[in-house]
Amino acid sequence: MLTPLFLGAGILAVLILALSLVCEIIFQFFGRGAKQKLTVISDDEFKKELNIEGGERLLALLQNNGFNIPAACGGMATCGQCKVKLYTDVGLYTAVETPHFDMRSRENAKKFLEDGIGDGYERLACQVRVEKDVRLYLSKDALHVKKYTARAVKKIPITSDKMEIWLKPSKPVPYKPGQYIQLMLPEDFVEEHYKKYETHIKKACENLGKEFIPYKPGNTMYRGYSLASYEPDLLKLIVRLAPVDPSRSVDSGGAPCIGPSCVHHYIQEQSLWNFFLGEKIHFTGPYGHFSLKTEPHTAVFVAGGAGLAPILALLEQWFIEGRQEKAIFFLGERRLQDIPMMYLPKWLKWQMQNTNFKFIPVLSGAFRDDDPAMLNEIDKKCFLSLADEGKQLAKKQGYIDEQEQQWQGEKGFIGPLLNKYLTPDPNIVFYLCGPAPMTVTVIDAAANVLNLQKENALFDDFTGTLTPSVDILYQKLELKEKMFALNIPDAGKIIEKLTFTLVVQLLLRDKIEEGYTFIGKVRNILETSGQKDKDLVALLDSYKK
Amino acid sequence: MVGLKRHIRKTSKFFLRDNLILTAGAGLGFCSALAVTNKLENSLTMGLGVLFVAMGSFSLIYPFRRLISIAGTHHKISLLMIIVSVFVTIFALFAQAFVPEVAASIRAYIDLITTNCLVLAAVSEGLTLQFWEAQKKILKACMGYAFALVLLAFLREPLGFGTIMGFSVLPEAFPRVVLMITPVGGFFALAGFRLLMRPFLLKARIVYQEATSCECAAAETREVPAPAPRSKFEISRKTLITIGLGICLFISIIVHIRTSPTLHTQFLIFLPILLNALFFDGIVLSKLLGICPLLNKSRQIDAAWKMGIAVIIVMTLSTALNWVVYNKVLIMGSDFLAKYSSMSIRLEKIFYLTVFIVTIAVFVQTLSVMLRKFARTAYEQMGQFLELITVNCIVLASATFTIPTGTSFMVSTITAFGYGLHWLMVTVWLALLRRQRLFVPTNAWDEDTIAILLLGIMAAIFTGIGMIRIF
Repeated sequence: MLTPLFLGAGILAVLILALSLVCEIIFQFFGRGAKQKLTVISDDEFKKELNIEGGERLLALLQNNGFNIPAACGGMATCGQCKVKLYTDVGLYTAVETPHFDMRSRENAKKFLEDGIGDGYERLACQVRVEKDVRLYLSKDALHVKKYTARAVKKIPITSDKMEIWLKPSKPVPYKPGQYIQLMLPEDFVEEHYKKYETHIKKACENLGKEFIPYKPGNTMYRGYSLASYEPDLLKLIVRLAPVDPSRSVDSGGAPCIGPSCVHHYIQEQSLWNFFLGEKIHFTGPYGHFSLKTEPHTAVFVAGGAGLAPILALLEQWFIEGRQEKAIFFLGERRLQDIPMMYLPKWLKWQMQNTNFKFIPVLSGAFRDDDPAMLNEIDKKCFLSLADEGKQLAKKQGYIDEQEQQWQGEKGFIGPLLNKYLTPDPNIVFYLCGPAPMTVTVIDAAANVLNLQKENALFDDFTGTLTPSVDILYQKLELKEKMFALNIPDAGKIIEKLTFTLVVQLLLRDKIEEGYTFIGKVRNILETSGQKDKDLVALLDSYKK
Repeated sequence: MVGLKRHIRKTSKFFLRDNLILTAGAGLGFCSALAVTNKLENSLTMGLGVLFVAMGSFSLIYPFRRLISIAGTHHKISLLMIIVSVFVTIFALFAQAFVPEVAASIRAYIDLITTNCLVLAAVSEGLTLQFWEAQKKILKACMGYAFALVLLAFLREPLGFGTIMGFSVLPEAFPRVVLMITPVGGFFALAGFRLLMRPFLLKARIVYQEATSCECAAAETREVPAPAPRSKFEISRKTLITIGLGICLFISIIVHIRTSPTLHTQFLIFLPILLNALFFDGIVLSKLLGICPLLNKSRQIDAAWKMGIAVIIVMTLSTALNWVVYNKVLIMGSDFLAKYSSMSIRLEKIFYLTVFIVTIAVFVQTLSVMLRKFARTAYEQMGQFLELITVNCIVLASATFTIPTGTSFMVSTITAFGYGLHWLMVTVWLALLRRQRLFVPTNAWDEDTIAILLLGIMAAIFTGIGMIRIF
């Protein structure tokens, strides 16, 4: 009874095996390619090198190696979904590929292939044959990054626009203090956000001179948040509801920035119907090398705004480890109301108990053009919310006067204060986290005044612009020394102007490329020009607009 | 409340965004969408079939993904296709058991689920994901496909038959639009759907405009570079004479074919078959297959030519090979089995799909490897197109439509050749028509819609030609 069934199956199996064998033999004899190397690069310092056999199609190779490249048509160049960014020239589009690329990417590709300008070019992975070593970029969705899930268990408003959020991960996350996680923003929230505020965002982008990128469905958005905690099973984040346009706050009707706003709303809603929907917050990580150095050193912590989070974690670690070296904590905020009153007593206590630790809050009053020294109603209310012990400490340590009317701590910006509290010392390490303007100016000041080494300025580069900015600043420092060595008249003044142009007009507007060209021009003048001072002034004037 | 609203939003987008038939910039899966949607029950069966095959075969393949990755890319397609085709066979048997009328009317298209663009792509993409995540994605793609099919059927069935699922919904007096139930009507219905739904979908932000018209126009003006001076195609005198002699010989053979009676009878049989496959019963315009690659490759004339030639080569040769495998291996195997048992197992009735698709995959793979090794220039010109059509419904269709009916070798091969020629012809014509930029479409989406409309018109014309009796 069963014999014919088995026989039938056998005939089929033999037939299919024979066909496969033919395929295999022909492949072994004629189809073998040379060994090639495939380098996959992605965000968050992901890098992977694969040893592969040449001649295969890129899409098949990547999919075989477990990268998730979407391809609805299965590699027939029909759907156009399998676009990858290549850093190696593997030839221009084939005839079937061209319709899948718009004018802009075609021009980018042309520029990249012919002149070598630009950051890679796109091709359809299903149409690329790997015949040489290829370097390519994949977005984070394509990788198998380990994802964690968590629920928001607590939200504590710490100032008017900042909020501490406690996430309880489903399993403990091993991380070092100072590292950050990438929170996945749910697509529909991002879309709603764009729907609501698209015009605002567009306008703000125009004002700031940045490129507006319209919403495109299909790719998940991630936002980095530093962890403010020390325990592996409870993550604390600090989320700040930042406006897109700094000149228009969220309260006065300005559009909130995409990341924090979404997280804010998302988590808010989650806490309501988390239970029956079972939806969780997803995140990847931890990432980053922003952690305390082990060797003894003088630590300077500089925090501002939502950048407080990793600094909090690092401070916590500093005191838990019982370090006895000198440590200074600069906290830059606009007004007293922006200092989280929740943490203030702890810091003040640390300062009282440790003679080596100094806490220096600096109020700038920026963007509001008011005097942070005179406490307004909101400031007073915030201060009143402190427990009595905290109030007494603040008064005793001279931050607030006895009548609770005035701020008696530091005012202005952190940069100029550095040489008041510190002396040049090769052993100083700066830990910075906060708004880009603060970070850049403080590093500039520290490099000038304290001879801070480049590798001793530690910061998290969330936007990707800080690292090159700091690089430019250090190049500028070299030029400054050169200028003094050349005895250029009025060198001090010129440098001041130069710094202003560089920092305010270029770096803080994310014009990194222009920053490099600017430095290049200055160097050129210093090396070749006959009338160095005049040329420099002319160059600076040309940037004044 | 917020939760509910969010749910509705999410669900509507789940069905409509990236719906490969209705909203995606580059459509896929048109063939069956056009062919089976004249009745709602057909659509439902088809949608269910795709869902079952994709999810079932994925569940079976997933545990073996390491094996597939080790076997290498040259075996990947055949391995996947074996399992997919087995599932298709199972589904076809189920359909025959439970809905025999439906299964009878769309049998050919149920077979072709094997090469449905959605299935293989979803499965091979899913192998790189976690199991449930991948199943969700497959479910999304298949549900979107089924949804589009049902929508189309809701338009076509009431208009054509006046019924939905066999219940009459329109009064008798209401005129029946017979166009809607003919294959040609599918093109118009789909194009109409896409055109009408576009503004609504845009407004609801379910789809996004890809590029604004002004940008496109500006791009066009910038585009036009001076055409590169083409190297003139030189023909030496010798070739010219050879071609001329060849043509003379060919004509004289045709004219004097009567002198050889055997050849003459052959000629009388084969010419109508070829003409039939080429014009009257074409694979694109009346069988509605091979539309996705056609729409896509007809964007450029160059690509259309090359793809068409590749299709002809692969179709003719693979059908010939399949005929041999089917008749010499499967049927003889079954006969051999019949000798040993009372229960007759006809392998060729059950497993023809599996065998066909594996043969095609192996053949294409082998051909491309050989080309790459021995004819580098030809490969660079044509190679990529060859591999694009491994999993193409027309190649499988030319086998399943001709071979199991018991035709002779020559008839199958000639029909396949005719189908290939037909595909090339339609593609190149469509490419030429699209070159004219009718209605100046502003994005890939509208462009595809217009192309579908053009195809519909072409199909209507060809149906008209088919009415004329030549023989």
